[in-house]
Amino acid sequence: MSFANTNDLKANLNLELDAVETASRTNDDAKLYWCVAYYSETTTNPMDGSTTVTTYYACTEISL
Amino acid sequence: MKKILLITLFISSFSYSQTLKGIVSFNAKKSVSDETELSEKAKKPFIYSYIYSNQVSLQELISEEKTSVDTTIVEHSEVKGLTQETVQVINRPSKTSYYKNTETDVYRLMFSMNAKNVSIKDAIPVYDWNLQNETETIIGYSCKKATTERILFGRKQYITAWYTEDIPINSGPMDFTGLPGLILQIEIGDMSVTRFEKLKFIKDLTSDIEEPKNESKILSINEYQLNAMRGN
Repeated sequence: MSFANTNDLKANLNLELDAVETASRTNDDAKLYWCVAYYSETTTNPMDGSTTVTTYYACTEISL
Repeated sequence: MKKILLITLFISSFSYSQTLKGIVSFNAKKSVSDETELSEKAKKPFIYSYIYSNQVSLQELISEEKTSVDTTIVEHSEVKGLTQETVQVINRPSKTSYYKNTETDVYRLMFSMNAKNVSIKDAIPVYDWNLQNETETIIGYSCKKATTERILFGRKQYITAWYTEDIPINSGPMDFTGLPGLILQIEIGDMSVTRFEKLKFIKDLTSDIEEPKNESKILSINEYQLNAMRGN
């Protein structure tokens, strides 16, 4: 299992920003990963009215 | 620009012998980090009270806010026994006050989040508004559009304001001022919308609106930005 920030993984795995499971092939068709948003933090800042979401995914290589 | 300055001077010298009270809602829509839609829980509006009298305004959070932590277990649909715990944390300020005094040029923002208090004191931010021809009706008032931009936390934000000349006071939600009438709605990019939901005039009653008391070390806007970007 590997852990990574969503921004590093989203481009390769087409992940949706959600706390549900997502399975997707990487560019390397030989590998299939099951990725889950294991931690997501949403913060609203009254200073500028911004809401920031930081999501971390845990990915496990699987074989079906 | 000269026109805006003249209008602003006119408004600041305008004696509005009424107290204005209102309800303001703040609706977050998208994440600034990756511009994705927020979850329904994260989009729950913040509700504020608003009062204006004698060039002083105070906007205070009245909706009860708590940071929430939801933990769920996700199971792979095809691989038996493969599970992963997921945690969703939504941080919301439990207390927020925006105070503006356009006579003394004082802006205060105070908020508490996760037991940490923030106190900001600075001059009221000045925006270079571009007045537009578009109009819209908001809670029964005919409003005109104005746009501007700013950089906060290293991010550029495009701001749209809807103001009404029917209420000639120099104020609005959050830190916004500087238009020839009360700002009834503020859109920050497509990230959030802050707007008045109700307005009520109280004739012949002028209230002294007190500046919020410090609950932590006072920071300027720039000091707070630097601290926040450093993760303090």
